[in-house]
Amino acid sequence: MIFSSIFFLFVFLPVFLVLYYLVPQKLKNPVLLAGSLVFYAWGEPVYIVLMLFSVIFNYYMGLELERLAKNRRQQKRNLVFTIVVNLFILCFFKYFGFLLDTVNGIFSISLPHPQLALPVGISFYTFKNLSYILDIYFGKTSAQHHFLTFSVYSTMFPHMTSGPIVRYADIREQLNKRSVNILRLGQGADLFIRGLAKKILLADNLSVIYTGITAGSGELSVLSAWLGIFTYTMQIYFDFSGYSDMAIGLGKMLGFDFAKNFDYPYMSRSVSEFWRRWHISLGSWFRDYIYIPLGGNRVSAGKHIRNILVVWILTGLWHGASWNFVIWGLYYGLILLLEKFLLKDILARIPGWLANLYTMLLISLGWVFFSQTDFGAMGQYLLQMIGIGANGLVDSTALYYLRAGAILFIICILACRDGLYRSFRRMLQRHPSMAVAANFILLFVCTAYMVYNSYTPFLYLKF
Amino acid sequence: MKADRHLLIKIFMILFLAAYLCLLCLSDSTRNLPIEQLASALEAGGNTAALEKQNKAGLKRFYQLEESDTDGYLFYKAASPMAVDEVFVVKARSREDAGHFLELAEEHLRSQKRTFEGYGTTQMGLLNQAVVESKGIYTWYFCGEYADTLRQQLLARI
Repeated sequence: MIFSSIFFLFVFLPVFLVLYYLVPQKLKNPVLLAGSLVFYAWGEPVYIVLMLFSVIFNYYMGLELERLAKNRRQQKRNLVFTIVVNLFILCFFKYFGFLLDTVNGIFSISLPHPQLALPVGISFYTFKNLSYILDIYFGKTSAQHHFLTFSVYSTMFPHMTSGPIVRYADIREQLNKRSVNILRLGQGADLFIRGLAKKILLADNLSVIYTGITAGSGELSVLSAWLGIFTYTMQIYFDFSGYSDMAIGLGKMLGFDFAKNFDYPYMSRSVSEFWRRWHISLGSWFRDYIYIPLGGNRVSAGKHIRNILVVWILTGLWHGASWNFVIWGLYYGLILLLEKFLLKDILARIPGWLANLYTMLLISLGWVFFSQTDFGAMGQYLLQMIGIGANGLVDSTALYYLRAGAILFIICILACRDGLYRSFRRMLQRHPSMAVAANFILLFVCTAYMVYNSYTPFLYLKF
Repeated sequence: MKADRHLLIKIFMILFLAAYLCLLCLSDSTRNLPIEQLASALEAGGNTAALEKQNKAGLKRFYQLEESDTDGYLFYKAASPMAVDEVFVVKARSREDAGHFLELAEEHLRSQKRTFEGYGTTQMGLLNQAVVESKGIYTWYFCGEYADTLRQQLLARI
């Protein structure tokens, strides 16, 4: 089930919310757990067993780590065991085929491997459970003794399939005690509709343009290539941040406060700043559980460089079992190193708009590595951007899409900065009824699009 | 004694996981063959030779599907707009997606029937024999003389 579907919006969500709001406080967690299991099982009945195993295993191992707190050696052994099992499950489904294909390719052999579909959300719930286990080990939180409460945390449907990676310590208290009221419901709905509009009205329409530009024989003009990657840059932002807004909005409706996952990343003045504003929950996960335990920046320059590269290669691999993601991660690792050791002062001195332009240029180039899984196509696309092998400087395709998408592009540029939302918030404070009307209109238009358009799942569901 | 109990629980969980993964590998419901393998098997029969290979623009035009929303596809269509012969197999990322793809393929068949109803007797005959099905994460639409043969070939693979 996806959030931007008619069934979720007009059947699952209303039925679930009515039930959730009607039952007494002590029954809210069982209802939430049941709702989450139905939500997951709807699309992945086979893999619900795997998810439940992950819940039981991590719940039990959390208790074990707490029990062994006085025996540090035993505790460490159990921590390693827990991490290995979690990572084994993730790798079995996500990386095993990739690894064997690579080995087969290098040695020209054909080792067989099981061909299994990737369980939805496996990267997200594995990382969420690992953060719980590691936080117990490092003494940042205590283990959850109530199985139902832990199950609710681990399976909660708003952030189960595409994040944000909510940490147990951040919502521990809310899991047992949270308030739901009409104000929170309204705030949550406002955020949810904003996310829905980002996905349906912006990302999905951008996707049509991107497909139109790149669907041809592969010969693009320079302008088409740049327009294509600009469109993809915007599409991936509105798709993923739209999902995150919807997840956070749903959380609010259910009485939870999840931290924001995007903070207007396309306003950044450096790539380092961009990564502090994009997919914040994943970035902070890698910072807290990989980068800092490796020594962070409090080590020699050589080790510092190693730490950054390790984190970024892993970030790339997290996104998918494919070499283009490794290159994408490495690309960012190298840029961040450049910024840290060479460009930091220059970026601080140049005008803001120029720094933003520099950032957007590098980010857009990064999305070429991300979007093109085939190396040949990736190289061809990059070369066409600088005119090599391109079908001229400008062609009719580029001009057509530039004209057809002009209004959409302007809206997107405005909507990825904070001004528009600030104005909307001000309107909400001054004229609440107008804001409610605006939300209803947005919901109505989104529904019309959903009825008319075909199935378009979120880009990040595949990770 | 207590330590033994904890060890036994961990061993039991690992055995359960191993058994579950073995079951998954042996089961058909989650088979995940690369689309290239299926394509070469279907193309080897020669039943696609007279058709035109379609790219992602065709996928969008005829099925309203984005290439990026699929995990691969195989799409052949007759060059003439008056012909209804088609070979289409799409691999989804999840069973839920496969269900949606099936709806799109069924809608495509309905739209084809609306187009030819009333005057295209031959076309309608083929459209009435067309195969639209889904299994696991695969959805397919075959229309033409060899629809059933292609279906058998595909089912033998997945």
